[in-house]
Amino acid sequence: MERLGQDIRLNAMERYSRQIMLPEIGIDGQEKLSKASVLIVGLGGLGSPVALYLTAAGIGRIGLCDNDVVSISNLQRQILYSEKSEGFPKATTAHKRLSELSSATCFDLWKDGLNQENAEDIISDYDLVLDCTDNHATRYLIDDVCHKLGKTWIYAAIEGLEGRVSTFGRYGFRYIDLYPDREVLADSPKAHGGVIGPVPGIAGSLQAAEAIRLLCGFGENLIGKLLLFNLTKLTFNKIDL
Amino acid sequence: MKLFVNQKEYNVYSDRLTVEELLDELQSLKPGVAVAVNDKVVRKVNWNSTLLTEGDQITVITAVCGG
Repeated sequence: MERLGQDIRLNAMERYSRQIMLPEIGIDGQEKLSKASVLIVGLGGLGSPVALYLTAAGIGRIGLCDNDVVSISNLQRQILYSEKSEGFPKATTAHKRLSELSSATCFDLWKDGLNQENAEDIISDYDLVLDCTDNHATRYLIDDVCHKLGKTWIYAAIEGLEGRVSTFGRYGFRYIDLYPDREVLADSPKAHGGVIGPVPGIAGSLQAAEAIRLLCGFGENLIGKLLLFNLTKLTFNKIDL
Repeated sequence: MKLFVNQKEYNVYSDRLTVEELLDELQSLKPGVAVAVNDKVVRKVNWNSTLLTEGDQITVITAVCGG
């Protein structure tokens, strides 16, 4: 058994060697990642790169939460899926793809998505929440429950050629402080506008990097900041909340 | 008074203008809009008491929800 444990450790050292060699991460950081649990709410354009990068990075446990099925128009930006995925639930399809990528991560499947009834139970079981949803109502729900439970959540939202990313910590500025018009926004329809794949690709990659920074505990983070990017003007601005 | 709105120069006649008045003039006084002045968000409750000054950089941040 000791020999087996040693083999697994050596295997992990090689697998994650390119990030372990970073002084910001090292073996300590890798151990923190392997012990961490994150919940990904929404497995679309944002959730795809988030799930792929965090699985590849060796996060110990990942919750995959989405009640949607894959449609052909998703494939232009939702890089977790293939043509064969059409019509299948995103959570199970994502799980299959991510399990092939790594056996080092355990996955929980939440195929009903996040709703008023289950949100508190689900969120309470994770260290960190990644908001990759496509509607305001779920963002306000995440904001409420994370505030109540003292959880940190990493927000991203995109439209057209623009994206926003932030982290809302257990204290301080909340999403509802940024957009107090909850009644109007929560009733607005889901986003169905034009978008190119790299927009959620960049926003989701920023979320994944933020999760790694927060979990390993190095560098700057987006708590109290809002990062705005625009791929038409090719601008990135950081604003204080 | 010269202001910059989302990085574009914007001239207003008045020298005394609140964030709320500017948003009204921009037809942006509607739900789902956040505003930063000089890269710092001004909460909605403070829009009618925050005065703008010459050269201020205003960022109007509409709420987007795509994922």
